[in-house]
Formats: sequence, C-alpha cells, structure tokens
Amino acid sequence: MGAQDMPTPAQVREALREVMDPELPVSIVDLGLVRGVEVRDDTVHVRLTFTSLGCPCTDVIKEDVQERLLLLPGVRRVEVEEVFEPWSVRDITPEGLITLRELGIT
Amino acid sequence: MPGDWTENDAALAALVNLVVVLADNKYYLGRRLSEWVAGAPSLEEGVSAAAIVQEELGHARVLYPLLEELPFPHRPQPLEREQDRQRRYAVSYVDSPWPAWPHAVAALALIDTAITTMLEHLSGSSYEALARRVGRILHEESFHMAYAEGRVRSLCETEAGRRLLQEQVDVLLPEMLLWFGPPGEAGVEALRSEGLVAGDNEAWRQSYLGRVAPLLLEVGVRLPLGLQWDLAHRRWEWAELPWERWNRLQRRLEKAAVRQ
Repeated sequence: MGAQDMPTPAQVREALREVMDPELPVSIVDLGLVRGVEVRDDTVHVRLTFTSLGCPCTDVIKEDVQERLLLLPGVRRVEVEEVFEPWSVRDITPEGLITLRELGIT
Repeated sequence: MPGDWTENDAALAALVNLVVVLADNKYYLGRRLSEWVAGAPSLEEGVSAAAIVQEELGHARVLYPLLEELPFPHRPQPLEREQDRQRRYAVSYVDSPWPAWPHAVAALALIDTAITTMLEHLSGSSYEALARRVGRILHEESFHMAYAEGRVRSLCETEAGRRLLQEQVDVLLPEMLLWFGPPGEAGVEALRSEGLVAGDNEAWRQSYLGRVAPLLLEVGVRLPLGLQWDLAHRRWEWAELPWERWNRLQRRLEKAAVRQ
C-alpha cells in the first residue's frame, strides 16, 4: 500500500481523540499526553507521556492507542513510545478543562 | 542508544550497578511504605503516602528497563515481586516490614532524599536515556521532600515522637552516609571520566547532609556519629563510618557478625 493511502498526522491525532483516559472522561489528546505523531510507510509512531511515572493506566492506554490506530486505513503497525516529559494541568486543552470542571474536578 | 562510553568496561559495570541500586531502593521503599498506607496516623497522611508509593514504584518501573538496554553480561534481573531476585541492591533498612510509623518517616526523610541527591547528579548524564528519566523523576520528587519534611516536623511536635524518630535516625543515617560510597571509589571515578555522573562520593555526601542535617537539628533530633558542621572548612564532619560492614556491590550495610 502506498504512502498516499496513509492517514496524515492530523488524522491520527483526530483518531486519538477517541482514546479516553481510563480514569477520566477526557481523551488522551485533551489531557495533553500525546507529545508527537509520525507516519512512516505503513507505521504510525506515537510519543506519549503520562500524568505520573506511577500511572496505573499506562499499559491500558498504550493498548487502546494500538487498537484504535490499527483501525485507520493503511496502518499496519503502531509504535507507542513512552517519553518522560513532565506533565501538569497546564497541558490540558481548554476542551479538557471544561469537561473536568463540569465533573467538579478543577 | 548509549555512546562510546559503552566501550569502557569499568564505567559500564559501575553504571549497571548504579541503575539497579537506584531502582531497587525505589522499589523496596515503595513496597515498605505501601504497608503503612493504612497505618498512617491520619487519613490525609495515608492518602499522601499512597500517592508516594505509586510514584516510587513508578520510578522503579522506568529505571529497570535500562538494565535490558545496557550491553553488560551480568545484568541483575528487574523486580516485579520481592522474591524475583535473591541478591538485593537496596539498603538493609528496607529489608523487612517496618514495625512502626516513625520508621516510614525516617525512610522518607533519609532514604528518599539520598536517592534524590544522587539523581540530581545524574540529570546531565551522558547516558541520555537515564538523564531523561531522571528529569521526570525529580519533577515528582519535590512533593515527596515536602511531605517528608512535614512528617518529620509533625512527629517531633511531641517528646515521645521525637524520641522514636531519634532511634531511627541513629540506625539509618550511618547506613545512608555509607550509601554514597568511600571517597575516590574506582567505579565512580570511571563514571565521572565518561561524563555519566557529576560530583563524587564526598560531594554527594556533603550535599545530602546539607539537606537533611539542618532539618533534624531544627526539630531537636541529635545527629549520630558526632556529626557536626566544621565552620572553618565549611563541611560536615563525623567520626569513623563502619566501612567494615559495608557491602560495596549491593551498597548496603551487612549485619554485624555474631561473636562466638
């Protein structure tokens, strides 16, 4: 399958909006966990950080990312790289903050 | 992947040892503290302890995979369960469950702070995979230090509490001073020569004491080993440390031999 059939990084990010944090009804994109997306040949490489190094959901999130992105046309392989960039509430998007506020989490 | 320093056998061996020592101490500190989450004096302290446990185990989780990456033939196995490996690279203070809360307070104040002191000297390491993880760990550790200081102050509000903490400081602080290793340690010199670590054994020990000793003195805990600040030389001084009981590979204090 040619590279022209692969999704763009923007389309990959859009798909990742459907991957929710297992503890909060906020996508990993809005939570600010996605730190990079690359598309090469039939492979998508996603760089993720987590809210804490002890986050109990790391494996679940990685599996959910794999599962969702493999549904995209042309994608045969998904690489999830855990990077160790700091995370804080300032990384949450305005949309994510609105959802959290509605739940009483500020 | 690591750079040219992987050709330096002495540096590589010391680095593997350093990684497993850091990871094992984080692992066992988390395990021991987890046993006190429900036994902390207050609900608030218990909840905070639970968060610290999660992070300490998380720090071990991201350090252990470095052992797989380093090209060294005799790499210790990462720990998932305590019985996964017989040889422990953690201080003896975390060998067994702690019988009382002051043990947990002493460990947070003295062990966690020692590890953090060491990590601060690794944040610019030429081993980038380690340096990246260290940056994130230190970011999380600032809360641990504030928590530990708060628990030390809280415990020492009563004479009984201060006495209990004193007993633990007397036991643990000497082991933590040993933990930084003898001056001029060969493996450390190899690490320094490759830019893998900053500082040296004595600088780390002084930096550590500069952080923990003032707090202990402020809350009325006496320093063991005749530890005192030498104003003329602007450094901490102490009596002899029990190097004869120091296990330099596992970086832990061995039990005193029983006399026949």
